[in-house]
Amino acid sequence: MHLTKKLILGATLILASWTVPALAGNPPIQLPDLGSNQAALHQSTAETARRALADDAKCTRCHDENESKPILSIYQTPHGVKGDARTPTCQSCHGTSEKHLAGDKTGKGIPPPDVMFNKHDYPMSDAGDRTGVCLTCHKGTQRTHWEGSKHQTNGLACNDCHKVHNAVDPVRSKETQAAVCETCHKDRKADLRKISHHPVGEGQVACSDCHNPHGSTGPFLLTKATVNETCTTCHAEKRGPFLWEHQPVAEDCTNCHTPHGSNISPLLKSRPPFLCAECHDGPHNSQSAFGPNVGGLQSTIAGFAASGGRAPNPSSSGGGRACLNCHVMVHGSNSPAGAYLHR
Amino acid sequence: MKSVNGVLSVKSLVLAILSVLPLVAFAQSDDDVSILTKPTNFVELGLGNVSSDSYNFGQYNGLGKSGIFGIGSLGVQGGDAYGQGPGTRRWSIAATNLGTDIRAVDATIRDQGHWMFGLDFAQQHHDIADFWTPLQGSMGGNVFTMPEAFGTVNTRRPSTAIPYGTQVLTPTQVGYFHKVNVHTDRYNTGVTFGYNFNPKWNVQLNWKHIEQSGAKLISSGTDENNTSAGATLAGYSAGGERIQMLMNPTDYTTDNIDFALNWAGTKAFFTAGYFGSRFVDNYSSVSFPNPFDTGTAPNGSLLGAPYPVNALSTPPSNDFNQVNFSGGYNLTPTTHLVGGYSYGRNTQNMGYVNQDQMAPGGLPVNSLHGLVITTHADVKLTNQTTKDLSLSAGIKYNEHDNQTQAYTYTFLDLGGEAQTSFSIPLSYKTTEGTLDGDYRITSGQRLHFGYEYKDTRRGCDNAVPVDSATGIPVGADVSATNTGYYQLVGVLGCVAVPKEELNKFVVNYRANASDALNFNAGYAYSDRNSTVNPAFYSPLQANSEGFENYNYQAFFDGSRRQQMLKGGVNFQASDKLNLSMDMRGTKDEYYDSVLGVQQGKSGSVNLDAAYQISEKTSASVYANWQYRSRDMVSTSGRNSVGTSGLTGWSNNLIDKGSAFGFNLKHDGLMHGKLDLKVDASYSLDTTRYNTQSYTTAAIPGVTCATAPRNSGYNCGSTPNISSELLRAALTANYHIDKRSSVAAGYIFQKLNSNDYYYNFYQLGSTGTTTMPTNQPSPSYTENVVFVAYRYSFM
Repeated sequence: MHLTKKLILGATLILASWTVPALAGNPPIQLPDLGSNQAALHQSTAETARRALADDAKCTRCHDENESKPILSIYQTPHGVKGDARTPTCQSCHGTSEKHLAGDKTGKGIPPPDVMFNKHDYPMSDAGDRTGVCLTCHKGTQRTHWEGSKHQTNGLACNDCHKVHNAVDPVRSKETQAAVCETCHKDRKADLRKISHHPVGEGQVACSDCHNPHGSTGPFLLTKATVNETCTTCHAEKRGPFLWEHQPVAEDCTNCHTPHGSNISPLLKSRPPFLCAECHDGPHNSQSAFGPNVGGLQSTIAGFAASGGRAPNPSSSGGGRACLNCHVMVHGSNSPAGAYLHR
Repeated sequence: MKSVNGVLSVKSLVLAILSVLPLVAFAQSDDDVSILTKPTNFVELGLGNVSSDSYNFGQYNGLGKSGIFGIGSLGVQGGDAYGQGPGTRRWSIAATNLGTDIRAVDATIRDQGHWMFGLDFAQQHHDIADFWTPLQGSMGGNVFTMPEAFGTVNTRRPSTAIPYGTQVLTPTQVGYFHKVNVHTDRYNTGVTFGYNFNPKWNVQLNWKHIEQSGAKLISSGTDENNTSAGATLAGYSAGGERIQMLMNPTDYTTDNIDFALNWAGTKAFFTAGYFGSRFVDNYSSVSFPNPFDTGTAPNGSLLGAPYPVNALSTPPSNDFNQVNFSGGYNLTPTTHLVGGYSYGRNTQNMGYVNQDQMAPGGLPVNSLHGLVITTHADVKLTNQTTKDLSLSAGIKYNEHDNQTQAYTYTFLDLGGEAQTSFSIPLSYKTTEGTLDGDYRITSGQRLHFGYEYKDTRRGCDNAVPVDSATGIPVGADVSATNTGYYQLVGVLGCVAVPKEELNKFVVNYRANASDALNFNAGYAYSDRNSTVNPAFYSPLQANSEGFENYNYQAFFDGSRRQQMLKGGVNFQASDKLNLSMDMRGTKDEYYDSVLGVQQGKSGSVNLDAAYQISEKTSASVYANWQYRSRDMVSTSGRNSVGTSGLTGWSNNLIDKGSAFGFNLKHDGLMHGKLDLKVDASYSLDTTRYNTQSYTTAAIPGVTCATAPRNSGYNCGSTPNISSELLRAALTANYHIDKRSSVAAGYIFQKLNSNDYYYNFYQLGSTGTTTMPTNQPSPSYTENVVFVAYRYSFM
């Protein structure tokens, strides 16, 4: 054998020795092998369902319709489609729980199942164990960045938000999702009820339209890599590219907007001209400050005369839309005569 | 007759459905197990009444108009995979809010493990404002005209101090104002498809089509140059920077397509995807007349020729196409690697409008040929060798590379003066590295620590054309001061901050003191250090009106030190009572900003309590307080290259919010037939600005009253912008039998809004060059009652 072939063979064997153990490693909990359970795949759906229900029966003979929580409602969910060979049984998620199934052998009560998702008669399992069960099947796609994400490092597990036994998981319904998120994000709960808000409470926008709570590469767990990419999914008219750009807009919508809610419409952090003044010194009238004069006509006609005709006239640069009375294209302009964002 | 037939047909349909449903229902078993394992279908029909018109109450809920509205919803599901059945197929149809203009319908059919197909439709109605205008033209259209008899509005200041301009429109002119309810409607149609080739491979496709109609409000300045010969002959002298509000059409179509090919193996997973988004604006401009005259003719004088026509551009149609790749690999059972890459192209080439507003020879091309390349890459390594310690390290890269060609444009500004500006397609990129660790100190205590480094670079692919002799941008309108500005540095840049470096440290602590008590605390410190280019070119400051004061620093890219402190506690006082409290505070310091934002603070506190009074009765309360402030300084000397010798002012923003809510739920009244629910909430948000003069070393003792060009109206506090919202809702649900129930309710909602914004646009109170709109305050008092019958079946 030539030396080259020997080297190639050697390298192949080394690579294989690295790769095979990695690929063959055991998952933390033994679920039905979704990737390679060919025997299950080749069964009829009826046979698959029969076997799965027989497995479930180990648990449902005790945990039946009389439970205080509607655990049998899981049969209305994707986890209850027993004809699908990938569908878990009770033990797929709760562990084989052999001691629990064996009953009270010691007189000290029935030992807990291997994995407890809620604090009930037994202590709740560690968040990592609870999440690990779900990630065994739900890997990749939306969950790619779960590990190291904000929610993971703050000790949350999947079932802290998801109710997998419920016929309808509240966090997966646009109408009820926000209430789940607001359980922890209480400032956002107040924000979403301010006079200017995204229609989340009205059930037309869900938190998950913008955020991926499982982790993402974007800031604030946004679904896209940047703020602007996320916003322009719906607000595509702001995407440009424009001939005349406005730097804070081109970089990050949240420089001016606070997306959950604001006392200043539309979802602004502050009211022009003061918002604009956080970057611009107000070139036209920078020789005079904006103060109460932005509030509109505030003087009697006598006061008007006494001031020489100036005092009661609110400045068009400061009143109402203020700077935006003329600089109307703050998101950018595609008019060749729009360098000052006037047109 | 047509409408009667319509009503009859609806009635017939409803009766037909209701007559069939019991047959379906009785054919099904509804024992306790079936109730749990099979879906409950329902049809709901009812009526409600709204007491009065309110664009703000109806902003998003479809109830902006007074009178009766319909309630209609539906949920039907079926397939052989329900009820512990042996199959894998399921289908569902759901419809909500059918009686209002926020209706939604979706239908899905799937063979689980093999394929799925879904269709959905949702209408989103957004009430924006009630608005008065003399302009004629439909809301949603792009051509507005002024009735000829409206005449002109003379904005020339009279010699005596009397109201003038738009403050004193003639009765004839006022008579032309009419009310328009400005709103938008979005019609979202979606198609979803998924197919599993085998347990490892699948594809998913989502297509969303959004049709938007209606309009939003936009303001406009008029063009002095844009006068017809006839108008000039008639003695008409057009005014620049005169303001009218317009209904800016939103005749948009957006199509978003998301496609993904997914693979998942035992130890690795991978996704290759495509995201495409096409935005089409069916209008390219909005035209409107200019009724403003700076001559001497009184208000109402008729023009000898049609009004000069002005035009605004509209958002340009654009495309975004992106390919995405992401994946993960378990190096070992405890060490995982994930990463991703995406490449996107954002293009825009809509033909230019407003070409008559260009100076001769000032239009170098007829469209932008805009191209922005966005690139993203990330990689993250996580490790949890022991349960006590988990570690992660990641790197992210984002680039926004604007490759659009830059040109010089010479145009006529609102005053009719020729101006030259050089377009600056902005590019930027960020590189971010993170290190995180989570350590379990004891079984009940965890410590998280993190470090982040972020590097931001900004620049332009195109150099600003500079006169080699003077160092001044070609075509720039410069005074002696401006010359000094540009000559501060040798090389002219296009951004104020070409480089930022951010270092951030985070530490969080969580502890379960007992089964019933846990708490957390966290602290974060970050320092963003910005490299400032003191003499950058921006099209916005290409003339003498536009220069920022030297040392005026934008808040979003200035050097900033930020601290955050948070904490929370949760106490399960008993099986029935849970109490929680959390708080958070931040402090920002813009330590290198001589002018501009100096500092900001924020804080919030939340209190919650939930009490299970009995098996059938529960109650909860919550309270939230928020506080935010911002301090800023500016000076009175525009176009200055220094701050010495200038007087200035400070501006302080204080934003406060408080919210309280109460919820009570009681089920099983009247022998288990009646469920009651009460919700009540109150919130008060206020925003206030305060401006004060401050004294520089060069001019001591200056006050608001004595500062040059200041007056009593420039200093002091603005009126509070306040929104006070009270809401109470009572809902009763009466179960007639197993299948039938009646829901009835009453909602009281009251908004007290006090906002000076609206003062400025009221007839008689506007600035003298601003056309009034008489937009009313959003305040309202609403009483809503409703009753609906629900029929459930399996």
